[in-house]
Amino acid sequence: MKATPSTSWPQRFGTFALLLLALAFVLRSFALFSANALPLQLVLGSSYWPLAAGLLCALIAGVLALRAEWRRAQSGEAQALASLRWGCTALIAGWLGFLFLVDPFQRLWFDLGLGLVAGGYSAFVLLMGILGRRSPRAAFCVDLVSFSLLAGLLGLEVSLRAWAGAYPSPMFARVGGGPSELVQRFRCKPGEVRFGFPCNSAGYYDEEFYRKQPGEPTRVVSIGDSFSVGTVPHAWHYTTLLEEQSALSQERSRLRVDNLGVAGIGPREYLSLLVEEALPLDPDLILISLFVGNDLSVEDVLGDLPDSGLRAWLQRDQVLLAVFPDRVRRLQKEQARLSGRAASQARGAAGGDAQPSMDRSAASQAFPWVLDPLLEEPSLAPETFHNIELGRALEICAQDPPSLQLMKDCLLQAKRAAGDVPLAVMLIPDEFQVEQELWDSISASAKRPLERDRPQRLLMAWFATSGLPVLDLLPVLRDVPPLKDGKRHLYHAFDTHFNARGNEAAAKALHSFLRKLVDAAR
Amino acid sequence: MRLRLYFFIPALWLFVCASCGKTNAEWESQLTDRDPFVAGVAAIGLSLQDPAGARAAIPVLLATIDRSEVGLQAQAAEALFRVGPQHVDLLLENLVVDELMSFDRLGTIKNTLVGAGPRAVQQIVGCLAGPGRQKAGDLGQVLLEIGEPSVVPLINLLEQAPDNKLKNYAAFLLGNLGPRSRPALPALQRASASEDLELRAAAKRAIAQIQGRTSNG
Repeated sequence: MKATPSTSWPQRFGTFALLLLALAFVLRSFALFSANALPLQLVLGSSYWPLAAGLLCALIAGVLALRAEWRRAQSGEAQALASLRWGCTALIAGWLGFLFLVDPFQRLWFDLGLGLVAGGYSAFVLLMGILGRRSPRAAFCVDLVSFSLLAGLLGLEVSLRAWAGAYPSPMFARVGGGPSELVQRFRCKPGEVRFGFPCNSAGYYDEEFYRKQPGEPTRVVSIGDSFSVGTVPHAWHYTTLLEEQSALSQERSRLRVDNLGVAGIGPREYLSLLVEEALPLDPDLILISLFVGNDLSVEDVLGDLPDSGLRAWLQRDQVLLAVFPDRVRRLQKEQARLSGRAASQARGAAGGDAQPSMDRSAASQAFPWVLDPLLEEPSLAPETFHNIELGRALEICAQDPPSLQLMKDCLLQAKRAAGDVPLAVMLIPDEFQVEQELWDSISASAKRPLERDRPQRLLMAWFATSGLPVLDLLPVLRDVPPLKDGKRHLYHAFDTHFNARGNEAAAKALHSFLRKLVDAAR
Repeated sequence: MRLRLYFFIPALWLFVCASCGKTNAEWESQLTDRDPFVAGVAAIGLSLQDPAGARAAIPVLLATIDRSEVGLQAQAAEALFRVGPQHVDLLLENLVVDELMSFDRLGTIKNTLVGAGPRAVQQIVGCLAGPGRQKAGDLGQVLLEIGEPSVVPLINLLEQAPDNKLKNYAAFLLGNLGPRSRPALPALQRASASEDLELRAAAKRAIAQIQGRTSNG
């Protein structure tokens, strides 16, 4: 370090204060580590002792740095006023190291990591002190390069976030890795046969997907949960019926509907699917199917967590520096894959899809209940079914649905991420909202007042101001005349999902709804 | 002297930290933390520190097994494996009450019950004869994995169960335990003379399996 006249006491005090603060953080981290030692041995496994050693080294570095700083102050040795800059360098380096090494973010890892960063800062001060005495030029270079590089990376992240805010795009959508993992976990296996129809290579209950080519029919991508996966043969699913109905009408309105359905997912996963898988297909319109029965009462595992401010900067899937390059690679790979498939699909188009799947006639013989709902076998025990429906009614009809705000936020994010691609929503009611007998039974069991249409009332009021076109299936299904036993039979027996009649009613309503949207978009 | 002071204070701090862990009460207070990771770590800590006193941790461990975003599934399962054998009744209660539990959770409970071994058998058979009838398949699998210690309670179930369906199932399980169920032969022979057709058939099948015969007789 270049010799300069002795620094003033405030400057030396500043350096001291920072080193003392660093030592305090190290001691705090050590205390935390020791208090949680028992579970950490199990949780960290082989990383336990390296972390312990790291904290010990941080402690030693902190003590030595303080000692060295004290001696320099006593001897009147000149100080370079760079400790604040080194502190920033250490913090940014710690931020990047945390992003690279830790996933997902947890407050405990942050608190322990702060001790390591503080130790790193102390070690850096020691190093610069030694280097400064031996080679001031080298110290200057290390100082300049490290700070410039790290500050540049931080500046890049800030710039990317500012750009994303001003110009929303699927490339910048911070949907999180958690929803993607849930989608991976719950999607069907590629080739898995359901009702005689094999799921495609992406694990969806539909024909193979490919990127839309010029001149092809209007492409609609439908996103949803188990209603989209369906409990009927493929030929009876509402997305398939929608394609058939559009094919019977004028060519202009012909639709191809890609069905991205994954059981057990919710609003955050819909957003993730939209960004990661729907948009690469280059759709003309995206439809999100919301089931009011459970999409409005999901546990917001991400939103309810504390330290949201820290997570926004320390959760890897929230940081654009980490997300953006990976997303560019994956989207390019996906687009190339889908485009490649488009070429082979075009060549084989004349012969139609050569999927070894059960045709409609064979399916109706194998599953006769598609033609007569009275032949349906119950999926759940009646008591279990009743308890599920009662639980849902209590969640969404006795109070404002708990994740209503989450749904709205995710839909708005989806609208932003979709950009120029129109986004539409279909609301699927719960069975108790459609079948009177079930509603009467639930009301009797509820022991508190229930407002049957509460979720639709709240949602439709919001949709009116959101700018999102919406199809509410509740009045549509209530208009379906009941069968001889007085029930509408639109849901599979004791199952909670649409049966063939329900899918048919949904497809008919969707067809006229989407046709208007598509024609308006032209 | 000053040099020693520099290192004495941090060394003392290290010593104090190393000797102070959290008490059971401190772990328990964190079980209801809104952060599922904090709750999960507390449950694991309590389970490892005091398995006998970690009853309150079990529901949190079970919930943590299902929370993939927390990243503690394997550790929660291992902690449950250590603490579960001391709280078999609570595990059985969770198994019976939750009809739609995940495969991960169900598998962990069953593994823990198997790990509990002979200690758990009496309670498992009691549950099978009582509120756990809907989960007969799962409980039966556990008893088979536990093996020989299940024989005597199953013999008791065969002889004392209130209805023939349970007796059938007891005979079925004894048969599947194979030669280890030899002590059950007298009870099975009595059951093979029962008035109930299905029980007679189940008992005869079981006897054949125990004796390693495949033909009737």
